[in-house]
Amino acid sequence: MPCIQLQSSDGEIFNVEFEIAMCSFTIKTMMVDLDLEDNCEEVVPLTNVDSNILRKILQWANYHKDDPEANPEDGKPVDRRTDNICEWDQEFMKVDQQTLYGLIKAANYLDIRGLMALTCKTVANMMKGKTEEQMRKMFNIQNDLTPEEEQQIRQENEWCEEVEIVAD
Amino acid sequence: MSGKETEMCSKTTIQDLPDEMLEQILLFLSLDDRRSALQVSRRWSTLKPFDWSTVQLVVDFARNTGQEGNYHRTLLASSRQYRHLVFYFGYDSEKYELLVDILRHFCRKVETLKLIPNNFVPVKLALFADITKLCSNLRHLHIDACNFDYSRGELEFHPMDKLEELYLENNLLSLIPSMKDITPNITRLHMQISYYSEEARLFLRYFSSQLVELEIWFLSEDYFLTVCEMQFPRLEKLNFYCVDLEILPGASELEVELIDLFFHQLPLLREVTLRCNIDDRVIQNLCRSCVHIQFLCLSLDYFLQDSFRAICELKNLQHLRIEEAAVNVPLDSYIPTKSLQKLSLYSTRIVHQGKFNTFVQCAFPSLAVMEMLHLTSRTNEGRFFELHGAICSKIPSLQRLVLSEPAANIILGPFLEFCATHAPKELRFKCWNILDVFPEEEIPATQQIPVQKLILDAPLISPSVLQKLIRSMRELRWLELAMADYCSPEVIRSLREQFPRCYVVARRKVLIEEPL
Repeated sequence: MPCIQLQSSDGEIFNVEFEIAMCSFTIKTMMVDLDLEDNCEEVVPLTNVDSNILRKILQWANYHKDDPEANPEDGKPVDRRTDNICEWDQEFMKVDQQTLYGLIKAANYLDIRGLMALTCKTVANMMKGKTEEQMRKMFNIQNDLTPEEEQQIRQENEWCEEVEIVAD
Repeated sequence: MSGKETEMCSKTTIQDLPDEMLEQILLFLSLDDRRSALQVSRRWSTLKPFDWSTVQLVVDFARNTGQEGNYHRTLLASSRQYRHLVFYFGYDSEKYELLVDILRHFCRKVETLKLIPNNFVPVKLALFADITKLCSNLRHLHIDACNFDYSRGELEFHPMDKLEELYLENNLLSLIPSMKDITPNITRLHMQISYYSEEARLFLRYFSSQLVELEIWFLSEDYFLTVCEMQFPRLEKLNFYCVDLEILPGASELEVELIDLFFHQLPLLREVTLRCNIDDRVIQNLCRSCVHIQFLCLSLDYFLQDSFRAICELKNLQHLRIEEAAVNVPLDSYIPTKSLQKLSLYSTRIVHQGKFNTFVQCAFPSLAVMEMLHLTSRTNEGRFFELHGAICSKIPSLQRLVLSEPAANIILGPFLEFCATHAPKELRFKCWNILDVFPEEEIPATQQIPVQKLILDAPLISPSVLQKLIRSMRELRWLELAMADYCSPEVIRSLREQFPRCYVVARRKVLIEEPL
């Protein structure tokens, strides 16, 4: 099985099966651009991903390596559901908030769409049904809005409505 | 891993995520939850977690009397890129200026504009001139019932080349002789035809060859046949309201032939709504001529056996909706329609319920959705479930049942019995209240209720009835409630805790009957 070497921001080197590394569009593009496809000796540096996060990502990518590749232009409606996370992924997502946000940033940087959706859904599920005060508490965010601003924001958001779409 | 290494990892919090990522997260939330999130902090309030193609801004001047100043400040400072605007407005010069200001602020992106005046005082024609000038990207323009004033002055109207859909319930056509040059590319038209507006008929004739969708309210039935003489070779969707029209068995053959010829020349027709009293012959000829019909809605006094036989010939029909009629079905000599998936009965009277049920079972073997809306009349209110049950029982293909009786008070016991006997996996139910006559008694769990998903709009239901309802519906995994006084966040939370098997959510708007 051909492998490539990925180096995390803190210097650790991971030997990764080609096929698994390809779940990242960023790495895929890099390989093509740098003409590395036949050269396994080269180390690919990932300056934005530390070893903890990278290890997690590779674990996820390994489990999902056989998933069908999603083509964003295939005309399917955008997935907005958050109740369709498989059991393995739910277990995988049992991490502290810090790791979770690290994974989101890394998934975005590496352009791994499946992982991006999973991590975003997980955070969305934490927020579902919560009031603004409960959200502040959960994320440890200070309310820096004046009452007037709050009123103004509430109003504009009150006026927003979703255009009726027949849901099924 | 040693403690030192852990410290080396950067402490990432949600605040470290860039705006785009926060927006991506928030897009997975319902609009209600997104509203809360946008109140969290100043930074979060500037996020735009919206898919602009599905969000509309609704400015209601009537609801917020005295809030106009606020509207002004908030909206004119907004950097959101709304594509769909809806205005409910009264007429006074101050609000008019405000409306134009808001329009000017968002105009470049606006694709859909709905103007809904809330009184009958004339609207300045200058407003329409401004719209044609400002909104160069407009694709859908909807101007609800209103009269524009006649003071034309020096107004200039610009052509709206991108406009596809025009909804006119007003006198613009009489006021602007060159209207056809302002809307050269429309393919969807909604208009009125009355005896005094020759301009409307000329306008219609001018665009007849390019229209894909046409909706007409005939304020005078005299012109129904005039329209039937026109040709619409591209028409796919037709919607005629002409309640005063009566083509009865006694009518002249000539009239019937004219309508037949009209339908015969509409080969592309897919969706048809006819709210006029036409007789059997017209329905039969319609079904024979327009074989591609997928949606058919008929509102008439009598819906009889031969009409059903004709409809069964439509091999592409997916959704049939019958309104207002007394319905009588055939017992034989019809071919089952496998394509039909949805049957809606609105305010109809079923003559023989048992016979109707047998017919539905045999004639529509793929029926997945059944809607029964406003069937309860004063005479049968007490027998609510008896009536509905007789109509919809034992249809094995049924996936979803929709019942809407907004004024009805329902008793919990019979309701649950009905669900156990007749309901499929999904039930959407609208009523005024569900009452528990014996609050102390538990409902005997004699029968299994198959409902897994329930969408409920019952504004007066109490939390204790709700609890009992979920407890009795043991298969229930999803409960969607229309927001009402009873469903405070505490009630919702306690229901969730009490019934972990069932996802409970309250929404501002729930979908019971699907919009036409």
